[in-house]
Amino acid sequence: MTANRVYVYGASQLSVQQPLSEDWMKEPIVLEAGYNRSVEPDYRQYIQPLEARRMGKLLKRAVVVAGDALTRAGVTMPDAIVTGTGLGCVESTEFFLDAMCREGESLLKPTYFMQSTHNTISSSLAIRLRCHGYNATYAHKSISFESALKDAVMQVEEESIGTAMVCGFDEVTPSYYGLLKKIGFLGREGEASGESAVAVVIGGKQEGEKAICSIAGLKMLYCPDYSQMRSAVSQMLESAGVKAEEVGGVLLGYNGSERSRVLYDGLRKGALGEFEPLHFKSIFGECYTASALAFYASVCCMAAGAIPEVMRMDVRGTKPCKSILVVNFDDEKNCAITLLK
Amino acid sequence: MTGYGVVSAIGVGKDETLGALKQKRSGLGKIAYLKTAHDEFPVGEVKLSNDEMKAMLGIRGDVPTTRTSLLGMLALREALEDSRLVGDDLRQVAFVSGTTVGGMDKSEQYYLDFLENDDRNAYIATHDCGACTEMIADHFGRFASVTTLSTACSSAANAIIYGARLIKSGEADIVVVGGSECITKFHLNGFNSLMILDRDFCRPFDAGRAGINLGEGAAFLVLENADHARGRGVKPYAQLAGYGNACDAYHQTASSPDGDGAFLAMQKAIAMGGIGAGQVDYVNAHGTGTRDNDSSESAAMRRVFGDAVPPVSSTKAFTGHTTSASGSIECAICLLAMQHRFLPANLNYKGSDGCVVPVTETKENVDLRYVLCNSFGFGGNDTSLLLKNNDIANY
Repeated sequence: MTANRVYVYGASQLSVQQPLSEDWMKEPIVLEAGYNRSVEPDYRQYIQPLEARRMGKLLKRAVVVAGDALTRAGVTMPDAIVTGTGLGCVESTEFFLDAMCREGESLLKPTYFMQSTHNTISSSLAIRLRCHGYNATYAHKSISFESALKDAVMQVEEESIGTAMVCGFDEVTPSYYGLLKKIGFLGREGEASGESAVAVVIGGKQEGEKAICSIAGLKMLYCPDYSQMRSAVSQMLESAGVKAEEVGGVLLGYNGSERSRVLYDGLRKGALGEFEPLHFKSIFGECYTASALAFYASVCCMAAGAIPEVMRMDVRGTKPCKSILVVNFDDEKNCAITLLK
Repeated sequence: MTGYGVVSAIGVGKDETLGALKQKRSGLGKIAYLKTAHDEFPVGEVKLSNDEMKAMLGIRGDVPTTRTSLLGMLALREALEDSRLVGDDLRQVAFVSGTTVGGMDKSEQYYLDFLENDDRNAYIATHDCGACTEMIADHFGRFASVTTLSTACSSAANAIIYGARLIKSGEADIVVVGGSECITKFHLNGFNSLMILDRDFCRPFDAGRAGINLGEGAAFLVLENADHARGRGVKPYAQLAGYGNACDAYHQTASSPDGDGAFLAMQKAIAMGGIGAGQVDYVNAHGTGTRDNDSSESAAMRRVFGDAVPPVSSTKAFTGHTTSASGSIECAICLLAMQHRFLPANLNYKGSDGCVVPVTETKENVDLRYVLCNSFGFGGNDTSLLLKNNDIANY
């Protein structure tokens, strides 16, 4: 049985870079090490002010980026909405938690609680679109986005859906940045933090539709060693009919810290020696769903047919791009390998 | 489904759970383990402290864990034993768990410490959903892959679907799926702020129903494709014959009056099973006991089944609403019901206000061939699972 192929039709982002734009490919906003927040779009263009006031930051970003991705893809109603988020709606969670811990268990307001669950965003998008299709949210650390993508890809492959909107969202509030810094997840020396709001529209190919690229492989591994990763990559390339030299490069999570340098240098040496390393966190920053931005950036490379200089580590100039890999091993336990063709 | 394990207010393990269900012994009672000002609300707590669970699991007292993880480990241990999976076997097994509160029990206890000092930093790392899933998984070895669903009260049910799809697509031959969730002050207060907690024992589908009693627990199920099960020489309890996930797309916390999402989820599950609605022998309803859910779910069931709604019960008056874990806990209850040929009762029911009339007494010697199990979450994340009894279906 050959599964239906899965294509990418559109992708959009709100992050520390110019909102809803690919300006970053030529002239990225220069990211400083330390704490960074997303560049907000002019929400008045997209959401009624009265409504916007009741929405958390992340939800507003989600609504705007989802709308843009659907427009780019030419899809009005996806058959499924699947979301990945490492930490969910942190701002609302903190409001509720802070009030409860400081002021006690009376007089707590429902709004922040309602907006605190991880699935708030995916279901809010469905409510706005009146989308009754499949709806799910994944919250598993650095592979939250890939888990959501896997779910949607399997459903397109088995043809139980035609299209899906797959999203990756994380916000990093100032106080949560402080907490994550304490445990060394964010805020290491040299590292820039970021936030992610990414929406991607995927689907099976139908006549007359113009896809950007196909998702030719997606595999998750848990606590793999280098040889397992190496064989997962070569199996993926083989079954996709892609030769190693056709791969424009591999996006890796170098984030400016010494830890990530050691981690990804080791990975390159151990498993990915033949591919040109590409970086994206120096452009978009670090957060749990940074890999959603890696996926978006890869789709941009595929759309342009070239990898921009800003993503290349050693070599000057652009490089043609017919195929591209993303290898996410950020937490040294969960590994996700994605191949676009 | 070749193995399962379950922990809830009505017992640790399948035997205790079965006994309580058959004898109509509810696990609801006054709050004893959670430290909260709101002791006016009955809850379904697992009658074990974290230290007692750690001792049962052989975990040192000073190892940072969360209650969600400990509950999950107890359930997973039983599921793995039941399906005869050990150590190295796990290298081929995908693990998918559902949770929403994750490590919030510790975060709410130490939040001000997180902000003000370094005494409790270890619990910052156990806060998120994924961390809780990994703690559960890693206690037993190295799974092939691990991930976490978080769709509020349908999390575990959606974890079951994702796992089934991994098998169907050929990504895995065997998966362990389910969910785990402890009661926290955070969501007790959240549900209270929404005014949907009942100060008395909850009464699903009853005219006088006034809300939820929260519960906690975990359940995990082993799913594998038929060839793989035969190869291992394990006999399936039942088959996951169908599943449906749909979004009510109506309101963040309220259900649509006609139960659109619930209707679509049930309809999809039944259609996938290749049967007619009339062949469903029992529905384990979501039946939370809120005014809203039970009337909406009743409307949805009438749309699916017409005048011939099969026997229905909500088992939430036994366990409390175990939120993210409810999908797998109630699936485990359905498996017990199929295996031991009984219909679990819907406790505390007195009379109808137009909702479906549930089964109020344990009914023995009932052959259950197809059973539908509903789980609905905030945001209208509605999921329905269709189980098929293999003994009757001549597997």
